Order: sequence, then C-alpha cells, then structure tokens
Amino acid sequence: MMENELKSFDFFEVTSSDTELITRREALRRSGLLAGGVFFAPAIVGFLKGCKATTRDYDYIVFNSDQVDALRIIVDAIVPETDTPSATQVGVPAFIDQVLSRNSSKQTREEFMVQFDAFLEDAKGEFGKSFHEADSQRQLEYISKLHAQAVEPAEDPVDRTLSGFIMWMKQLTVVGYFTSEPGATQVLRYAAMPGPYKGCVPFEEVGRTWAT
Amino acid sequence: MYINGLAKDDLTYDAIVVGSGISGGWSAKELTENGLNTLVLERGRNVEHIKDYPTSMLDPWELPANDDIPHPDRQHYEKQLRTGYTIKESTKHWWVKDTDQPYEEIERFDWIRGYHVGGRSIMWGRFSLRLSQMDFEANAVDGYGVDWPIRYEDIEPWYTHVEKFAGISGKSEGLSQLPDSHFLPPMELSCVELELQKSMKQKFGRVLTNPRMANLTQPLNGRGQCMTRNLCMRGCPLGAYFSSNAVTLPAAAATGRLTIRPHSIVHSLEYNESTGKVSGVHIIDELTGEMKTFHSKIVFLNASAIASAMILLNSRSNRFPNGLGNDSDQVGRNVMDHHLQIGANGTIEGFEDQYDWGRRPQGFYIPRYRNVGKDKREYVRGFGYQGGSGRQGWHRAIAEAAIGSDLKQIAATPGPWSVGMMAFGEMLPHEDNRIFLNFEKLDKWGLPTAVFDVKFRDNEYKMRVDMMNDAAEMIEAMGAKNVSMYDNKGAPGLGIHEMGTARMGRDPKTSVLNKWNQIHNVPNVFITDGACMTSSACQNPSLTYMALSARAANYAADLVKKGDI
Repeated sequence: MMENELKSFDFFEVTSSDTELITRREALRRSGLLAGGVFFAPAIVGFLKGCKATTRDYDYIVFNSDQVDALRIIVDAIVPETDTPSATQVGVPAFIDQVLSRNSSKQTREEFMVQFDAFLEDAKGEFGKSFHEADSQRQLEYISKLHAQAVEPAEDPVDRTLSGFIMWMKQLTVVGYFTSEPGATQVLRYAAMPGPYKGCVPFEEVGRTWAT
Repeated sequence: MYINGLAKDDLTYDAIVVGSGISGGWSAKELTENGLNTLVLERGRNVEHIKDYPTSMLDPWELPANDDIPHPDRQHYEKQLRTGYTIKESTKHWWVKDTDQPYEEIERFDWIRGYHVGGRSIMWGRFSLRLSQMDFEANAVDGYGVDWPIRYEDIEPWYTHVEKFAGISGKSEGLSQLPDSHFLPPMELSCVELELQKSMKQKFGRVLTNPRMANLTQPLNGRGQCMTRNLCMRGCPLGAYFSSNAVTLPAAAATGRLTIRPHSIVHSLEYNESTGKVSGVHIIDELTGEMKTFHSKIVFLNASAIASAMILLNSRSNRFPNGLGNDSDQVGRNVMDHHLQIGANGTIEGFEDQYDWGRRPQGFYIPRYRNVGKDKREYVRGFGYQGGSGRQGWHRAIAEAAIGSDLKQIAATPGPWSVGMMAFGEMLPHEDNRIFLNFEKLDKWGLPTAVFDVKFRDNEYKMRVDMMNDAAEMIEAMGAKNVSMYDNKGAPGLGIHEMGTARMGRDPKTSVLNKWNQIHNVPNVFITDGACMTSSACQNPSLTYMALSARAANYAADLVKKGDI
C-alpha cells in the first residue's frame, strides 16, 4: 500500500470529494463529518495564493458579474472578516469558480447553477429586488435562516433545495478558506516542517487546529 | 550514475536487472557491490532524487483547487483512481495512465502502478514488517499452496542486512509471529493510542506497537531525519524514507558499475537451447520504438509481480512454448494481494487538553493474534491492523450549526479525539486466481496485454467477520463512543501488494522458482519481486522483497564469480 493508505479509507475519510454535493446534515453524518469519522483530513488544498486568486485578477468562467457579487455576499456571510480575513478577501469566490469549471463534471456544474438560480430567484421574491442589491442585514438573515433549516431539521418536512444550496456553499467556502494561506496560517496552525513527531503535547503548544 | 540511451548502447553486461523499484534497486546494489557490471532496464522515464520531485515542497495553497485533478483528466485514470488517494494534482505524475496501459478484467483487479526510475518505491506506504517462521511454514501446515522452500532462518540475516541500510523505525516487542527488525527509534504514539494499547493488553492480551516503517527517526548515511510532513508520496527532498532513488541506486552508482537505461520496455527474454540459459533481453525503446537486445550472464526480473510474469509468458521458445520457466504452468497463477478496507473507528472522551505535533507518516500496528498459539478460528491464517488517531479537524465546521465568526472559532478549535483501525488480511494462494496474456489485444508498443481473473474466496470472507468485529470490540473496550464498523470489499489489487505469479517452491512440477529465486530450469534467471511469494502472510511485503533480492543477488554474484553460471 501506498502513502496515506489509511487516510483514504473510511475512518479517515472526509468525503469522497469535497466538491461533491452534500446538502443535508444526515448526509454529513453518514459521511463521517459529524460523529467520529473525521480526523487526519487528507491534505485538502486550495489554489489560493497571493493576488492571483483575488477577484480583481481572476477571470470568472462559470459566473457572471451579478452572480459573483452574490457569491461574495454568501461566502462572507459564512466566513466574515474578523481579526482575520474574510472568504472573499482570500479568494474563495474564485476558488469556487475554479472547482466548478475545472474539477467538476458538467452535471455537477449544471446542478450547482440550477440551485444557485433558484436561490437568487427566491431571494428576489423575498426582497423585491436582486439579492446582491438588498440590504446587507436582510441578506444575512436570509442566509442564516436557510442555514438553520439545513443544520437543525424541522419537525415538518420542508423543501430543502435552498438550504441544501447553502450547505453546498458552506462546504466549498470552508474548504476554500482553510486551504488558503491566510486561512491555514492565521486562523489555523500550519507547519510546513513540523520536525520530529510528538504524540502528546499540551494543547497550548499548538494553540489552534492544525491546518494539515 | 551513467544513464545509457543517448550515446551508443553497450550491449553486454555481467548482469541485467529488469525494473528499478524496491526489489530492482536492491538487486542492482548487491550485484554492483559484488563487482558485477550491471544494467538496469527501466520502462519509464528517469527520476533523479530530489531534482525530479516537482511537487515535494508545495504548500497546500500552491496546488490547484483541492489538489484534485481537472475533471477531464479523470478519463485517463479510470482504474488508478480506484484507490481514492493516488491520483492527485501533486502525485499524478507517478502513476500510469490507464488509457496508455490497458488491461482486461474477468474479475475486477486494481492494478495500481507507476512506470519511472524508482517505480513504486517512491509512492509506497513504507510499512516494513518481517514475515515469521509461522508464515514460512503456513502452506505446509494447512496444505494451501505449496511449501516455501525457505524458512525464517534463511532470510533472517538478509532482513537485518537490508534494514540496516534502508533504515526502519519501530519498537521491539519480542513476538514470534512478527519478529523485531533492526530498528531505529520508534515514532511516538498519541495519548489516545497509548490508552488503546493499555486497554488491549489488559483486556485481550494483544499488542499494539508503534509504526514499523522505512522513515528515518535519525539521520542515516547522509540522509535526513523525517520531519513528519507526511507528503512522502511526492518524493522526499530529505531522503527521509527509503526509495530506490534515495538509497539503493545511489549506492549502486557509487560502485561505478551501474548503468540505468530508462525508456526500455522489456519485450521478452531470449532462451538459448544449447546453453539452457537466457542469452539476451529484448527491449523496445519507449521513445523510438526501436528494438534492441542486451546480453548478460544473469538476469534479475524485478518488474513487479504482474509484469515479471507477463515477460515470462511472452518469452516463448521451442523449449518453453507456454512461456519461459513455465513447465509447471504456474506462471501467472496464485495471484495474491491483501484484503482490507475493513475495520472500525470511534470517538474518545477526554484528552481535550492534549494534541499531537507533526504529521506522523504512518499509523500504529496491531500484530496478528488470530490462529496464533492456542487461538483457533474457522478459517486459516490471519490479519493485522494498521490504525491511527487524531483530533477532528477544521472540516467539522461544515456540519456544525454555525456560520460567521463562530464558524472560524469552531474551525480553530480541534474536535474530540477519534481512533480507528483497518485490517490487512492474508489471501490464500489459489491456482485459479491468475493473470494471462491476450495476444490479440496489443498495447501501443505491440506487446500483449494482461487479463486478470482473480477474486477473494471463502477463507478471506470468513476472516473478514473477525476483521471487522474484533476492531470494534477493541475500540469499544477502551471506552470509545460512537463506534462504527465498515466493510468495503473492494477488489484484489487495492492493497497494491500483488504477488505470487512465479512462486518459489521445492518441486519444479508445482513451482517456478527454487529456494534461491532461480527459475528451476533456467539457472541464470532470478525473480525477486512479488512474483516469487509462495504465500502472502498478512504483513506488508516490501521488506521481504528487499531481503529476498539481496539474498538472491549475493548468491547469484557468487555463482558468477566462481564461473558456475
């Protein structure tokens, strides 16, 4: 067996591909994301680096400019600017464009766009104007409501199309963000050359979750 | 080292080694160090240590989206992708494209491989375990397969020989079923693994030991100590794990007697009826398509279990109409791998003030305990476990009920500890588990392609019940919560431990190689890759290939020096 042999199997597995559609808490639980399954995450990485990945320098392939505006609002609701950068600031919208254009099947890409359109359409109904033109507080409430539907299943069955889309976005955003240099090094702890392995150290010596 | 191929080829050598992976590298080192001018034929490109590891120093954010390969490229790796971990943007250059290297499957077989100097010694898992007397006696005791023509004492000095030079870290346990190696200091276990170790000892009398692996925990012969980056598969710029490129080929080159010829696809071996020996190795130049023949006193086949068998089967002559050395009709039969992807995992409460430092490049090991000593099961042979532990990482933020600044906080705080283990089970030799050549379906160089007809059988399936339940039982016994079991049958080949296609044995009627890895009726051809294995045991096999290669090469070199061959 090869390098990382164990890490590829179930008890180490995150999902078969982080770009796959996973929309529901149940699905996440089954895939091991919730209970006990995830650790030693495979070195999931992003292409984000420097200015190359900023929206200014990146030519979008999948999204038009209105969609990019909406995308930025959504990813920044998921990972906002605090004392560390926001998702948009580290280039997550470009990351998502590249995952969809370069690394996804046509079917996955189309499914994403169908859900994205449905999201924007529903928001327009709600706000009476385009999502990206709405009041920022209302944008955030709208996203939070859908997210809550996804992670806290209601008693009664509800239409999960939109909340599923938010979870898909959340997954892409989290992966894109924490594999970026700022996400990996400022929010998490990253060591390119850790040195000799120590099996057990006081948590304070590391201080934050390891990026890899 | 001298790379042959640009200038005019020298056509005659003392020895030819086919393949430059784990076993070929050792054959080349031992033959050259014994004074033999040696040509290594490698079907793929050259790979120079450090210089040709293009992704080895890249940080996560320097690789394209997710380290995933572009979607359209997936069509080239249909079979190589089956492992789920081999084909990444950072590693895909080490693996064959299935579109260039087709094979057929009567039963699914995952033939996962790479063609370049160093072969799979660059990408291997590095787990290094000795076989034991129990393993060498197993076929004789229960009657499956044929008896190994050697016993543990025959190989023991050669294990020590290769371990000292390769550098194997691990901890001595004094177990008869898993003999200790000549060890460098072990890498540590995590606090949770230490708990599991204690619980297993108290409640089951079973051993959990530190990883036994070809990663250096101290500098060795100018190679650096492992810095626990866990990026081994990209090639290690520190030379901190064993590969042909970092270890054996440089040693062979230092003798001044090594020539490596990349891009040299072996077509067949030429049998000379008057001498009763092989007189030449026919190759196809991968780049030019030109055929050439090289000559030598002895030939070592180290092309990998499947490819070495394919070369024999394609080497047809009047004397050997069914393939060189195939009087027994055993060439290509008894294909074995390990059966795996089965085990359990669970979460551990407590230890929240503890974390680990570094990315240990391999997991703990639980040596075989089934059908050992007084334990008797309704199947024969047994299994070992590899496992690991760790705290849940930032991915957990996806499923947690938070977005915004709370999400960052959750991601930055590691979750609870988990521990898990996966079994590696022995697969019995079975004549009907075989590969053969399809002479109608040729590859792009005009060579016949392989057809696989290999499957797991009753003994493997019976064993898997224990493989799954025992894992859950041991994890539960330490007080783990959320214990879950899994069983993904997969298919043979997924272990990337294929072996057995030209087995060693005592009787030329039922085996291909003798106790010196020499073809019974063709004394100047030796096979020391996985093809030679008479049984699979449950241990990762590479260390045994190294030891058998060194042993056979020294024996062969003696014959050459004495003029006996």
